[in-house]
Amino acid sequence: MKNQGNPQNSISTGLGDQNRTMETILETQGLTKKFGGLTAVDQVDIGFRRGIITAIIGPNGAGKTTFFNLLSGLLEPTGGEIIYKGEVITNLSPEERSQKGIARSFQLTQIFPALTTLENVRVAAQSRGKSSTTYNLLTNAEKYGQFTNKARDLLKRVGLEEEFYTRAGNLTRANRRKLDVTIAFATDPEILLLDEPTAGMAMEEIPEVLSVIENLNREQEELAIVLIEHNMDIVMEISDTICVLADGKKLAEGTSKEIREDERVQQAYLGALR
Amino acid sequence: MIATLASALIDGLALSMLYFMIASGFSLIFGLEGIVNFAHGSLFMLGAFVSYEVVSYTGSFYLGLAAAGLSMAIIGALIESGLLRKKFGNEMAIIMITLGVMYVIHHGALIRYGAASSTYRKIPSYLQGTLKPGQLILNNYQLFIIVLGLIIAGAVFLFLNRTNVGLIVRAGIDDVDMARALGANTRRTFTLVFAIGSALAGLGGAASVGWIYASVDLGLSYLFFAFAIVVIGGLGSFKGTFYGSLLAGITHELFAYFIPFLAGPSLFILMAAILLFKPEGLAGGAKQ
Amino acid sequence: MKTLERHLKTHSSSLMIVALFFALIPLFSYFGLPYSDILTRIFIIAIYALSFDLLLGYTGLLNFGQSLFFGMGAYATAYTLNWGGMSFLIALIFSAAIGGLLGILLSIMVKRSFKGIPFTFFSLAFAMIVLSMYQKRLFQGISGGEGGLLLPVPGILRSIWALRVYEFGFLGLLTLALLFIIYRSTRGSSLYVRIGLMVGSSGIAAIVFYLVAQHLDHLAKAATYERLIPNSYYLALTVLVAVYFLARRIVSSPVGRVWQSIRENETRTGVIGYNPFNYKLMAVAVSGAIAGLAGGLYAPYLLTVSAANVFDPFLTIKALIFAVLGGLGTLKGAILGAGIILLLEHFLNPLIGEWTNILIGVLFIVIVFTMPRGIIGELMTTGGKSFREIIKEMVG
Repeated sequence: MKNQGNPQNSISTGLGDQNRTMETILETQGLTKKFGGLTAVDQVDIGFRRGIITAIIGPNGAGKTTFFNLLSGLLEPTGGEIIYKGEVITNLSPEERSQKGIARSFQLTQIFPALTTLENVRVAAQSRGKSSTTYNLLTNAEKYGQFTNKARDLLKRVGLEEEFYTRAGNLTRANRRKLDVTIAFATDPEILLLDEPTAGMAMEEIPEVLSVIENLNREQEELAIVLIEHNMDIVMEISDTICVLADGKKLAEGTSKEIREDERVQQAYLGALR
Repeated sequence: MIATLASALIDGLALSMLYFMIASGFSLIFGLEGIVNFAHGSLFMLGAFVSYEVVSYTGSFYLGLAAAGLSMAIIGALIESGLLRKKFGNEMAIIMITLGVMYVIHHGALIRYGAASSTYRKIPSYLQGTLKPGQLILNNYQLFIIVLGLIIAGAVFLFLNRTNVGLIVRAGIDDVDMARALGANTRRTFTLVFAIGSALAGLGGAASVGWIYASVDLGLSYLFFAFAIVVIGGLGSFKGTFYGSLLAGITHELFAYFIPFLAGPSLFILMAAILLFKPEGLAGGAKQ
Repeated sequence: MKTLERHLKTHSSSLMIVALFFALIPLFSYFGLPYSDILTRIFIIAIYALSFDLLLGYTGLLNFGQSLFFGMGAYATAYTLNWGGMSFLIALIFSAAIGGLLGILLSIMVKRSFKGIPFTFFSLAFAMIVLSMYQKRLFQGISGGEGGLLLPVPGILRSIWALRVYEFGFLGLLTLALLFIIYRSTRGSSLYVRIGLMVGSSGIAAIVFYLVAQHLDHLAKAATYERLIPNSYYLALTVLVAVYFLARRIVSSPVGRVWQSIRENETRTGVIGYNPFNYKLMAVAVSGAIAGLAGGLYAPYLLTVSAANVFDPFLTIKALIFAVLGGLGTLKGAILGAGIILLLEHFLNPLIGEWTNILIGVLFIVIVFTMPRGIIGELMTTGGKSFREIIKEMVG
């Protein structure tokens, strides 16, 4: 993908690949969100690096999804800052953040049910057009073949080529989830936030979705991926770094081995699970 | 000057109570079930005519009021359980159905009553004429509407705050799932609330006949008034509806007495101001 | 011949045939079938219903004050014709512009509650503010009071020359287009078949043109300072066809696609990088402009414009009924719905009077229960499959 789809991206950086891939792309400083008396996210400092898959784990109600909603701009934080590529983006709207390269998927899949699968992804790809394209009222959207082609390519890569013209609402649950991730990916993100990409799936469907994520990671070396995940096996298998949230606070951060051995984590989370 | 002001205030209060009777049911139904009942104004109009017919036939004013409230309660319950329940959760379909019902009632009433407007030929003598304390002149009928409105407001308030069903309704306005968690039979509650709301509209219509006459046009105008007041008070807030009705009714009559040409638009000007500066309404709005 | 069949099955050709059929209707009125006037009304109201569908069916916004755009469009035409003495065409442009501008104003006012039920509440409120002003005696000067504003019949609607251009132009162009399609699509069949078809259709065209000439002679003897029914008819038909194709283009444009994604899921539309407010503003403005245009056309049809007849809230309710009955989000449905209901009214009203409306109301409720996608919607989809899926299966 990196070499076929978007060659200029890797050339124009002017930085060595080595530097680029480890660079911190998105970080939060003291990020806090209160709902009335409840503090859902409490003074969280995390950085996410390019080329790395970070898993965010934590018991139910730990504030993981709220954290994602803060990052993607669906919620306004009560305090703290969000910094993206050195720029404070705390007060930007969801669409502005998306345009800067932050994409996300949703735990409860958020797709466009009455549109075809292809159109779901095409409209997401179209969002990267120039404003003369995205605000064009008088040209048939199909004339912009680049978006349709990109949507087809992406859908083929995730194995949805049979479903181009299916109403998205009629897809199976696993396919809807794949579509949700593909929509996010069609916006050419630099950081991809995946909220429980395997939630509610049957065991045999999970590897498929995981391989989609791993392929994205392999092909797009500069892409940072953050995922919220409940299934510890999955977390240990695909993530490079793990961050543990509990009661809205960051409890620990490290490799899977470090997290496994961390006593506080065991107490707060793993112990309860096993 | 003082006398005129007093008359304006009394008329304003009376109008407020009519507004309250149409808007409170509308607001309750919207708050609890998320249903925008476009037929609500038609129930007001129908209540007015039912009462008019009963009073003409039996000669009993209070029987007319009771008949209007009761028959609208039944019609409301039928609309809710017969038509709306099947489409519950489908916002758009519900709007369509209530619009269809409104369309049918409106044109049905046109067949029977045409463009004429009617008023009671006989009401109790103590409701006619005026009271004249000092220099003031107060219409008995307007005073009656105020008393009736206050009694109804009090009753609804007690119903919401003192009864089990009321508790469920208040919980349901905040969160339907929570109402279910309270072990409520939400279906029966919904039908009940729809019936109560419709009865209030019918009573309001019946009360209005002696003052502003019954006509088919009432249906649409009072639907719009209910819309406006709910916007002013805050979508889904019962208290807001009460204050909104007071504000709207008194403003209307003050304008009507002192700056007549602004009376008609006053309600909508109020609404525009709310829309621009406080879209959540006077009471903050429990539900968006 | 196969190609001809396929050609006829394609969208544009079949639409062209429908248009040709309607273009011939005024000729029948010459033989005593006076349907052109009711059809003119249907075309105008269909444009209005189309504006409604564009907003509700594609963007998911139910504007309960849509009659504001329509009514102000009608008034704008009345003003320009009365005070400026300008041409009807300019008046129509003003009508569309005022509709669009009011749409922008409304969008800005409701910015904080721009979806679902709150929008319905606020759009109605917005319309009622203007409406209640127009109903006041103080504003009689601009509203024309209860009697309304009288307006002069624009030249284009009373000129026999305009009618000549319409009839010959409309029929001529359509006939030529059909001949061209036959010529193109019978390529490959034998020469005799082709010649036969061409001669046959030219013959039919000749008969049609002869009738047109007769018809025009007949009309020329009539007084020319009144509104000519066929002129209004052709103008309304032309605008309807133009607006339909424009609307179809718009809903398939990048903006139209974003409207649909907003209808389906506004949050997600924002998260993939579109500013929902801008797109909703465009939807309300475009829909407002089309409604204004419809109002502008309606004004000379009515001859007097008053608050009661152009701001009629029941007109909005009817537009909603048309769009839902025909099928929301199909454009064709709005036109079909307007046609069905208004024709039903036209034929049933003399027989059963007001009961017609009761019948329509009941029919509407029944449709909502039995055909939730509307007539066109149900025709286009079966068993939850989209039209494109069915096509795909048919093709292989």
